[in-house]
Amino acid sequence: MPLTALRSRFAAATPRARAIHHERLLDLHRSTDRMFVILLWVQWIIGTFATIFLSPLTWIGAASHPHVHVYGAILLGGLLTLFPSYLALRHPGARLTRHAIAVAQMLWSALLIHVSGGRLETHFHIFGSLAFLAFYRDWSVVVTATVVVALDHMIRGIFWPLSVFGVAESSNWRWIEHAGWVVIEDVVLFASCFKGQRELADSAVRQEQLEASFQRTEMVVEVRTAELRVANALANEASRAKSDFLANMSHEIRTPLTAILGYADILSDECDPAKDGLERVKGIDTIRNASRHLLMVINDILDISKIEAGKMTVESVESRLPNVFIEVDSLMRPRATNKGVELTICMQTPVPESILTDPTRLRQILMNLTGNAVKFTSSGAVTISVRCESRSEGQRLVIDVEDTGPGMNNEEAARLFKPFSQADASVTRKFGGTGLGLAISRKLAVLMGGNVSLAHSEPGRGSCFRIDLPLNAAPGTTMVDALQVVDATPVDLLPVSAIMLSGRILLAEDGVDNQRLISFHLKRAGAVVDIADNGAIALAMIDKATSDGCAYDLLLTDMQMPEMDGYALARTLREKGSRLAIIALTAHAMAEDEERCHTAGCDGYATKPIDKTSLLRICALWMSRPSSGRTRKPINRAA
Amino acid sequence: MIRVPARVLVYSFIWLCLIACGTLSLAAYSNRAGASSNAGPSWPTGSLLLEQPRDSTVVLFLHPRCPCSRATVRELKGALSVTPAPLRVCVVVFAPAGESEQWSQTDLLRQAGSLPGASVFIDIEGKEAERFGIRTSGHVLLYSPMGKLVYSGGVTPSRGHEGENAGIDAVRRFVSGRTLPTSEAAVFGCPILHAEEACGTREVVCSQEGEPCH
Repeated sequence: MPLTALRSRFAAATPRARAIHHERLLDLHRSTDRMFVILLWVQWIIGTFATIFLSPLTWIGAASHPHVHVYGAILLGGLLTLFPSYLALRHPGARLTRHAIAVAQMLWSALLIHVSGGRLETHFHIFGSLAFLAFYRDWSVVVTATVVVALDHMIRGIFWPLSVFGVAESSNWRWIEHAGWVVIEDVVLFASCFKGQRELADSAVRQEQLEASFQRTEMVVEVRTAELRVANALANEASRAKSDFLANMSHEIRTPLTAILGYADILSDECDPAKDGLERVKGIDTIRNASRHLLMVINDILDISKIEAGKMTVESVESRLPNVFIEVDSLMRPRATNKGVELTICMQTPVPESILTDPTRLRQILMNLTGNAVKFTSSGAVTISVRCESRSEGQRLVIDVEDTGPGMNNEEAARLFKPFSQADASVTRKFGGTGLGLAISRKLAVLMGGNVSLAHSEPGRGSCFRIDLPLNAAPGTTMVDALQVVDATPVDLLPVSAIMLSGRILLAEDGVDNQRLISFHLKRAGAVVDIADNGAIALAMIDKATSDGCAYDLLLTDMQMPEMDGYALARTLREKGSRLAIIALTAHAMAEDEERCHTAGCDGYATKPIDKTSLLRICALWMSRPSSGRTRKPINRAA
Repeated sequence: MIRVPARVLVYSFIWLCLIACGTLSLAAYSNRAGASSNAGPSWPTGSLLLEQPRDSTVVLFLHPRCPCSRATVRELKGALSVTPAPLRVCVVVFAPAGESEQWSQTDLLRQAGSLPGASVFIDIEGKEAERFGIRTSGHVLLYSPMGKLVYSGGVTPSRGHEGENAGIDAVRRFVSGRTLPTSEAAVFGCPILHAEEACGTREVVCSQEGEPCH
């Protein structure tokens, strides 16, 4: 019993499954309605033309009139087409619509048979129409169509038996035999309808299960997302806490280091081995070296933390490329010479004099690789080769740093760029270092759109590291093929002993040690230095100096001070329209601190512990510029 | 379930009634026989077709433009194709006076002319039909070799419809020399003459095509 089976199939189904089934059936009925509208119109048009062609006129002698069949095809055909079309358009999917279509379609069969003169072939229209009606998957539609056929045969059989049975007199029940042949097809169509319905029902149940599964999955995803959101918030909180910790630790360690390193420098400068003794000189050097090592470790840890937190940013400013190499050369050459290692920088191809890059980071990468090369090479040479390469992705700047050091095997090379790892443990013992240098260099290079890799290495023969960066030549720049042609900025290239400051500097700093140390360096370089213990005092002193006609040329301010800090001081000065050059001094070394200083109105930025050279250079730079020509961007930083 | 307004049900009922009327009208028209004949029991005197039939003779009266008579010719073609006995077939085709010959040169005439052993006669003004008392296209008369009328009527079940019917059964039996179950049946076709014309007397001009019946 297909109907019973269908009902029992749906008895266990959910309301949603029943709704889906109903929706799909409705879609099916509507689309079938539309199909029959087209069919009915095609039948009407073809039927009318066929009738006009087959029996256009009826004759009485020489007189003629349009044949009754023509009227029949136009008028009766129109009736059979228009009303079902109206129902299909206004009430698509309604039960009445499909039953009206069934009646119309079967009567179209009768009409076509009639106007074609009872051609046997047109009888197939009945069976074809029944099959089309089974598209509805509604057995009752097939029943309606069958009843129309049976009624047609019954009426004709009773009143005009010749028209259907070919004999003048026939049994009144002979129409049942004809209808029976139609019923045979109906049986097959019923089976098809029930099968179709069953498939629709199964499909609806499957769809419902799919939706339920999807909803469950969505719910799980929502729960998981909420959990992840909480976990992410916790992670962010932890990250913030870590950043705060690092910033504070940086401040807490750098502040005393400033004093230690600074005073060690002063002691070293003033120490006379003949007068003070060799042990005293060695002791001072030990303090300086240990302090610098500690500073390097802190800087490396801060850099890797910033990179891993995604807070490291690189800039793209016009920079003189040869200057970067000259700086590296000037810093590395003494160390190399002391070890008996020859340091060479060669340009394999002409390079642009000015490029758009982050010079600080490029210098840092280059210093790192060159420092490593010098450190690991006991004899021989370190060669820095520079060249431009044209590739499909564009122009590239390729710098090879090659040494004649111990080299590495493949296993050691594989560990190179992992943070806190060196070629082997003995390296740390023998050469020191945090093992962060190469990892930082590679990550910085990646941030700049390039990479740092080990080009080749051979145990006992040396290694070659390659810096590969996009090369963006500055507009209008010229090509240079040797370092000496570069017109370096005088201040950048001057030895620290040659830097002279001429002017008045106000130092705002609350720490007595740093007041003494910084003012010592500045005074020694020739500047007139006044000291303020906090921002409020500094502000008052600036106002007074301005009103007295002896304005300061530079404000060097610590950013963390009591009463009024450096940020508030810079902001207040800028709000008052002051164009005084302001250099921020801070023990915080995170990227956001630099940005914060700039936002407050500072022109330059120097981190503690104070590097004497960098401090004097940045002071000289800003004091040498007329205040009207100052720009606020980019911020200058003393590394 | 989509419910339709009650007025649509009323429209549907009216629609069904109109369809029923149309269908029944069409069926009634199709099954309305033409005017019956006044054919005499024997070969009419003065017929220009033959003086007196000496073989079994089939006479078919046609209006050359009657669409209903195409079924008649097709039915006869099937029945006469198995003729075992000598048989004479005369096709009398109506033609109005004053019209050109082309008027009657229709596809129906060509099909009728291709009937086995057929001779086609153009019956101007339908005078020969009048002589035989025939008023409807598709009328078939069967005469015995003695000139006696054994069947008078149509050979289709309704207008333009082919199919088993008493008339064609009679023709098949006639050509095979068997006893006829019926001597008359309804004729479905266009009127050859107006009723008033059928009552009048006119001179019959008979022209012939193909094998003469004489």
